Amino acid sequence: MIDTIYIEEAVQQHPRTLKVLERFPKARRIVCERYGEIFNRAQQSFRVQKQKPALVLAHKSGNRVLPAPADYGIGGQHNFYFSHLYNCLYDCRYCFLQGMYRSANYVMFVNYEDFFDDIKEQQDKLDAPGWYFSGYDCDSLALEPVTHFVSEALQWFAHQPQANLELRTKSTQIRSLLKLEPLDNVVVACSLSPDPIARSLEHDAPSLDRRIAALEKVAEAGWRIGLRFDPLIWCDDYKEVYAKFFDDVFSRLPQASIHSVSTGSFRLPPEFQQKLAKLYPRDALLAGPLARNDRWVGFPVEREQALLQFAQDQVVGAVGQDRFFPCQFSAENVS
Amino acid sequence: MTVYVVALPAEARPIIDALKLKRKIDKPWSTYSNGDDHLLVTGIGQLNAAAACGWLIGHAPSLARLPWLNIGIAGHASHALGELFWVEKLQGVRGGYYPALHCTNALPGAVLKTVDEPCSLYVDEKLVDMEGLAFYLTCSRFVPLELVHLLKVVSDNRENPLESFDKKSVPGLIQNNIDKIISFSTALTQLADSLPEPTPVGLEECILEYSSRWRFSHSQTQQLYKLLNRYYALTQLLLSPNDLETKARDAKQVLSMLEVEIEKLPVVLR
Ligand code: SF4
Repeated sequence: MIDTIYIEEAVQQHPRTLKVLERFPKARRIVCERYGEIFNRAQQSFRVQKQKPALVLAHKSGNRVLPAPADYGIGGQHNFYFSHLYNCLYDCRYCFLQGMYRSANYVMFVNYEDFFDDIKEQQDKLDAPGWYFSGYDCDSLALEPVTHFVSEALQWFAHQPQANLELRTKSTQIRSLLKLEPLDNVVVACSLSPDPIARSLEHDAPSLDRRIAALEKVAEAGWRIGLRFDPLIWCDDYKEVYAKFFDDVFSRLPQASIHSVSTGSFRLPPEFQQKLAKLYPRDALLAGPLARNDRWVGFPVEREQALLQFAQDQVVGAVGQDRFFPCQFSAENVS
Repeated sequence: MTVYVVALPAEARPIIDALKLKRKIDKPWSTYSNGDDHLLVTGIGQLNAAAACGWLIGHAPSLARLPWLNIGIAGHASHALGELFWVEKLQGVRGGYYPALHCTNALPGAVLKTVDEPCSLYVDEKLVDMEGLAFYLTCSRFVPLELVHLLKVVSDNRENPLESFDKKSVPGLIQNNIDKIISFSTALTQLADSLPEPTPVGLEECILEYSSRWRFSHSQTQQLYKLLNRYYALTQLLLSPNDLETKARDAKQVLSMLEVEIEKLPVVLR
């Protein structure tokens, strides 16, 4: 799966580096000074790199825990995000990472303890529980067999009752969750789309059926689950497509395990949308009718509102208002 | 389909023979081609390499969608004569450059240092050549980084220094590695298939058709280009001015009519 591994000089002997190298004994190893030498260069093609991304092992210094954008949240007062990993195994056509990064290589920051220390430091400053969102610049679980981050994070969060963790994923890599006792301060949130939309846009991601099956197992093991219907994608027969989809999801998942449900329409910052349209000039979603305001490019307002309202009605009908968190104005929270 | 770049005619010969290339241009630099693969002989040194690559891309911009592969001989302190290396890092004045490898490649990697004068000091464990860095920096301005690579054959080392090097051995050094070179080029060619799709055939003519009927400003032409591309993405058809349902007064109206045409298209994501 990984043929080339770049290793920052400073983390060459880090125990996690050695563990990753052990997992890929045949991979080519190239030492670099800073991950930016590989990751930030101009004239890279995200689309070409996606064919066979390399892994970059690096140290993250500073800016490890950042405030989440306004309107991002599931009921908490204080929201933050952090990224132990940049980029994702999957290839969703709407993914904002393609617009944000020049490179599709995976960057794994091996200094997990520094992330935990920063979360602790942040939490100690707060007068109320904080929410810490993983899966902002990556999928929280897809590369877990390589990173083991979630496994370590869960053990750490087990001793931090004031700090809540959201893992956001489309992955079915749930082994690390099933091995541990469920935690009250963790929500395992899965991004879900109707099957035809997932097939068309969420390349390489597990099918809807497999995602729901994984969520069922996680819920059965006692974990709280989150459902993220984000981004909602407009199509002519959206009512039919989404009605069937919501029926399927809510009939299979146990109500009592659902911690929160959020919705959001497809939207990207304009410069990201332009980059994506250049990367995929034949893609129907990016070529179709889109509207632009100061901050976002998304579906034309009437379509967006119709879609959001329809989804809201369905969700509220299924789980009630209390657990519903619409997210209408943040583009970057897809996973 | 690859653009091979070499410094010496002696490095070119085995590639010309293997790919059955025909001479195309003599001056200012020699080029060869078989229609699919291309070869450029730059002459020795960084200035030649940079100027020749820049000239060829300016001369044939469509080549920027192909892999560019610098093939050549290089010195190394300890590696065996005749061994072929993929350059994993080029030593620059400020830091290094890492060719972006996103295809399968079993060749061993090595660091390359490009020098301005022939050098037989063999002080560190790096390949040493006279063109690599200039080739890489020039091509990576025009060609996606993932498609710009360098393969070097060791021609001299501490045991067999430059002073005793027989220039006649150059074709043999390349020839002995030609299969590996071509298979690397094939992997890069497959990778190039994942570049964004090129402009649809006939789009330029279609735009000319519009421009012959209405006056488009520069930015309106760009909008026209984008709209026709989008329409093509959704229908695989080019929308000619004759296909517009009503006659437009001016370019502005043409653009809004095209927007409407796109909005009318069914959106079915399957
Ligand atoms: S949208 Fe999420 S799952 Fe899809 S590619 Fe982006 S990060 Fe990965």
